[in-house]
Amino acid sequence: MLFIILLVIFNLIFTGFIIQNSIQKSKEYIRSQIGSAVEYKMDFTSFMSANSSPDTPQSQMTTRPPSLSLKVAEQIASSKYVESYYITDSANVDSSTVSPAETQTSGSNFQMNFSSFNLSGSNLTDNLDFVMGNVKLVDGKTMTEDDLKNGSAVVIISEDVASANNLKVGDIIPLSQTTQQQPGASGGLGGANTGVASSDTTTSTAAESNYEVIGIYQAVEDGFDVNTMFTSNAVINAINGTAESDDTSASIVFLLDSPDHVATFIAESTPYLTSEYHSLYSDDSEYQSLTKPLNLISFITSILIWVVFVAGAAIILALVTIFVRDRKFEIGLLLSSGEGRLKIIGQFIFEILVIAILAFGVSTISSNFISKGVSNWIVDNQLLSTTSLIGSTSTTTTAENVFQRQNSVSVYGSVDMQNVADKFDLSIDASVIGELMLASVMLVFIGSSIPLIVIMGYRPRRILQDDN
Amino acid sequence: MITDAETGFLRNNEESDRIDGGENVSEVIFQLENIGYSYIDGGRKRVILDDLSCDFEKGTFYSILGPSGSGKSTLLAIAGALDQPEKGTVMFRGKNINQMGQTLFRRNNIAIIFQKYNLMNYLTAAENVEADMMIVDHKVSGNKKELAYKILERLGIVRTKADRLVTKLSGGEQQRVAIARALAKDVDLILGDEPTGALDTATQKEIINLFKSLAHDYGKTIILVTHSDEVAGQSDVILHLNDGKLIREPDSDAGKPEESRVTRKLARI
Repeated sequence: MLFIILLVIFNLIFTGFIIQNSIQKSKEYIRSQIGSAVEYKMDFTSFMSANSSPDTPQSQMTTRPPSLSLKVAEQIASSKYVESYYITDSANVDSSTVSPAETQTSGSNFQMNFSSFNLSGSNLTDNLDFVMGNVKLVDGKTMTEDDLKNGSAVVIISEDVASANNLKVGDIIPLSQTTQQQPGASGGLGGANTGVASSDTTTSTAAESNYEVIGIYQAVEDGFDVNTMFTSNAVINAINGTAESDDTSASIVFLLDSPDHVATFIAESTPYLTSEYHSLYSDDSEYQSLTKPLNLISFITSILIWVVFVAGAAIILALVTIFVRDRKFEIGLLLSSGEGRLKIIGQFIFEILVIAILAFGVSTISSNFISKGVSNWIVDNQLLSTTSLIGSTSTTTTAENVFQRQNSVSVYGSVDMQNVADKFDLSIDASVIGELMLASVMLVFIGSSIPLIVIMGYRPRRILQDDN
Repeated sequence: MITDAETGFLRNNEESDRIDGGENVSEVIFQLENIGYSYIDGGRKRVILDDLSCDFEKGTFYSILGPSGSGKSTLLAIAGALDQPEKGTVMFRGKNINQMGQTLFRRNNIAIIFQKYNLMNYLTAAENVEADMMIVDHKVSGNKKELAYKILERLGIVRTKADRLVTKLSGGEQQRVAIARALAKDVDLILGDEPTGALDTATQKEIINLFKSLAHDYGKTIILVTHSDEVAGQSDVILHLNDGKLIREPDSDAGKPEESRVTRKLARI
């Protein structure tokens, strides 16, 4: 009887545990796919609306949002969770001899760039786009520490630009800054790229300088602007005429050691930000939306586990009480013969443990089958339905999407829910078995300790008298 | 005779250490000193045992007679450390059993035989006997099961019956199994609470003879509580429990066989 009850209880609890474990693994997988990048962002919308408010005195109005100093960026980057951080300055440049390549957005209605090329700088030898896998080097080399330090006039161009202009590694190309003149606006995050094209904007070109092509890359990410050239931040600062020690208006991305530390890092680092318009951002919304159904199931299984655990403990308590009561005479007899109470309790524990171990073994196998049935339902009704939802939203390309892609490095990975479904792993590893064993021992201990402790108070004479 | 040379179980009197050069030496093995016990009945305190004292010698067969409700079973329960007296001490071989530890005393020094046998019904006769061997601290050497068979066989339970569940045995056979359990513990003091009460006359006589043999030939101290004058008449010493005190029946040892090498002495009653 105890075996059957334990079998049912263990199966329910184990199924819950295994599903929860699988959900946790899936969430970790989604988190790892989304990545562990945290971006520094400027809330332009709030800034602009605050400045355009009629309540704001004319004297306090400003067109330049407060910048984040490099010192603060470095302070944030000193967090133990940060593995590396990328400061990406940018500049718009043109060339008298090199033509831009045809891009996917060239024919769209949105004319985003005023210039031919986007020059993307980096504080490290590998530009963030290389690190994130948005592009890959196909020829030549990336920058060296000396290039960074000395501000060497070197660039890495796309194979599309190279092909369109018959360029190769070692060639020299002339580039000059595209000067934008927007009414009342300059600077800010994203530097020269932050302005939105308007009919009021005019462009002009400065004197050209020569840059050596040291590498050629291939775009991997869909929609990547192949007219992007990579160089060092020192080169960008020279072109833009800004000093490196200035407050930075660049894009800053912190890459953390683990996706699990994203929330903690943001919480710990946000107090360092000097303006209400600054923020640290990670693409948590996608993670939240993708994991919402999993969280719901996890919540339900948690309730199931606790209800079964409590009810199970109560049932085991009742069963062991009956078990002990049925053998009360035997206990009285053993006590009258001089058997120690603890030894009798130990004997009961041994018997219960043998039954529990047997039930544990059977449940570990059978709950795997039950979990598989439940997981099929989760995969079919939750994970794959999420896939279609995500798919439908991601196909909508808006001007804002295009704009954002051109202004920042794509630091978040994409999640294929089919992969998540495929990886919904129900295999029981050692840690899960450890958890199940712990839960089983606790359950049996809680359920059987009270009736067994009662044995300590048994009086052998009373028991034998009652029986007689 | 019930002996086992291999294990040393049931040593006879020649082997007993209380016999010294053939000279009869009496030894007080068990003492009840100033035992008091009462309970509240209907708001009134009822005294069951009133400053009761008694010494019991080794190798003597005692019977305690008394009317129903006189406290015989309570006295036996106190003697067997199954109950605690309100006052007084129980001494075994000169040691207070409370200091010795009641559980240890029950385990290693006494065996109790009940009227209703009190056997584990789901075990065979041999397994019941074997179970008691496992409880005592002085573990027997050799095969416990074989020894259990031997003890049972010498009490008239053959091997085929020894392998039966005790519920399949007659009342007399079950009581023999109960006695075998007591012998398996190899203790000096055996207490019996109406052990022949449920038996027919012939079986009752056999069991009493067995107790006599255990006392006289093997130096066991037997204390039986009974309401049967016939059973009491077979014992060496008859004690009456009246008004909470034990009173020795005069000349109650007249029936004791002369060949017995045990002398008895009631130190205090």
